[in-house]
Amino acid sequence: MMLVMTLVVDDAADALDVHLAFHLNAGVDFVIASDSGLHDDTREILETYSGEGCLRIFPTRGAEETSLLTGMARLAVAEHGADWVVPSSTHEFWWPRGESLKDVLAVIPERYAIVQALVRTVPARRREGQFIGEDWTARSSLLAPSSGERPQTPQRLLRPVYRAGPEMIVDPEDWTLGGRRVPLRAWYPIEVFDVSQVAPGADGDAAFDDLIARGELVVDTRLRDALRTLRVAGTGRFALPTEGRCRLAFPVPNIADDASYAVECAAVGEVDLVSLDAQIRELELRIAALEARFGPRVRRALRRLARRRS
Amino acid sequence: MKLVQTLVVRDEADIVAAQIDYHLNAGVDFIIASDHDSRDGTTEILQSYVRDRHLRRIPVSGEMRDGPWRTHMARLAATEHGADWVINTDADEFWMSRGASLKEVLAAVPESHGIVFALSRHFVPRPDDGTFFAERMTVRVSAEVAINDPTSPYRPHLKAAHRADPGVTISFGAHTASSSRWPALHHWHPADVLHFPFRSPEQWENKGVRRARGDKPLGQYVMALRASEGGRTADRYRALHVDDATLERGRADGSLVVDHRLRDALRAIRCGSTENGAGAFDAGVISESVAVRDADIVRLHRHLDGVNVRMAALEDRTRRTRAR
Repeated sequence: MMLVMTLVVDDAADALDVHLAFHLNAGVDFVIASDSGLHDDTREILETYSGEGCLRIFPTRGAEETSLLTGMARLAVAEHGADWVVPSSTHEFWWPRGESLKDVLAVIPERYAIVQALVRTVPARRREGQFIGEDWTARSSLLAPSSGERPQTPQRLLRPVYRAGPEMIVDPEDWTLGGRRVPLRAWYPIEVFDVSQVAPGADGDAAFDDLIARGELVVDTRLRDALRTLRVAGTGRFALPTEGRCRLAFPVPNIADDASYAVECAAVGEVDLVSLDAQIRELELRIAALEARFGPRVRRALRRLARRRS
Repeated sequence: MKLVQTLVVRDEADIVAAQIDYHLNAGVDFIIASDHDSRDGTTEILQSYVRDRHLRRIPVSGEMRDGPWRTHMARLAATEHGADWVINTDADEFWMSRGASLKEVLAAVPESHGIVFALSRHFVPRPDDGTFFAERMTVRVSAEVAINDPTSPYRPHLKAAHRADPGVTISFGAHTASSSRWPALHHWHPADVLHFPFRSPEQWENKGVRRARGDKPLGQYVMALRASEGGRTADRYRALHVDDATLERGRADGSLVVDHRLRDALRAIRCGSTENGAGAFDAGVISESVAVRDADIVRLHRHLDGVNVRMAALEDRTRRTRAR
């Protein structure tokens, strides 16, 4: 199985380095990274990984988002044999609920063309001189007391991973392309740590601790701990897989983990009777539209047939 | 009332005798078993029950055809064995009614209805100390909400029992039954099905490898196949089994409960008791029934997604035809 990540790169050189190292050690085989006129230090990192043979730079000046994402995904299929494509940005870290990203995706039944990942917001509060990732020790929870007060559409809480195909389209607003692709609903075998936000109340640790005490954030050191294992002492760099073997060992969740995760998956609210009812009604309207198109044609054909017989 | 049990089995010598003994003591009068190319002694065990006139063995081979085999047996129960009711089982499932015997709860089903559903209660693997599975596997899942992971063996589901009908059709896994004679009675579950899917690393690997190459390769089997091919069976099985620390955590948050019902029933049978298998009420039934309903809504939504794809293809074709 070939897993390719398409990466929209912004100018955050240190985040880019750790991002690439993490995912190449998490089961991603190859990265296609956009270059929309990056600073030299960012470009230098891309070229380093390109030199290692695990990344390709995709020039993108002026491209609109859907065509950029689609272009990179199709390149992943056509020239790198991708079976799955993960569209990412540099502030997203995709965490498999299994031994690796590949391991998780390999067992997804054929009928599903999209696997959705659950977003975990990790507020950053990096101190001067601190290694990147050392402050990523807490995340949002869908079970936080205030989460019910801020209703969000399920799509805002999820990110898609696509089963690859030569004519695939990646539309960030419409993952299923109007119902043309089947998503795996109500279970999210990957978590995405989004590190783009600064911690609320970043003026001090007290505010942060208060959020944890109130259950608005939960302590979660998985990402920080994983990055520590990749850091190469004294170099400021991160280790890459050796001879194709990933360096990260992700813990496989047990039944107690899954039971508690199921509560959060349910809190996303992607599937319930209301959404089911809405989908059935929409389907009925589409059937009615088809009937309205076919009815007159069938009647005309029958009339022609009757005339020929008479 | 005559109660007939159907059984699909392949290489389950470690459990099949206990399953049959249990059900014969729980009110089942006769068993019809499809024996799918067993090679581990299961066939010999089944033959011993044939000799005692408790069981009819139907040898089947080749690619697994779960639904058709179950349907054939359920119809035979009606046409050749004089059944009034039929329960459809796997070798790792033990039907345990609540409050009364199996026959009594089935007799309580209103005449107007003929299909009922038992609630599967999944037991988790425990560290293997060499004892009989029922002695060590005394912990089961009691998830507050449905685990909708398509690769999980612990998704909530139901198993069908029905009045005898020569025209009945049983689905893959016997999760549903359809009959033109009998409507189904939903949302009342007269029994639990105590389910012991994975009992040792070897059994998990053998079952997974076989089923992943069968007619319906569920994610849980593909996972076992991949582990086997990668020489990682022991590691992956370790993630499945529940150690004491996980048990403690699961009991604290309510996702795991200790359940000795099968162990005690089998012990009683070994001691010559006339145990009828009727279990006591447990409050978890209510939340797990809700979880089944929620899981069914998810299944329905996923199914509808598939219909949507077909619909979109039809619309696209129509558009192209009109454009020409």
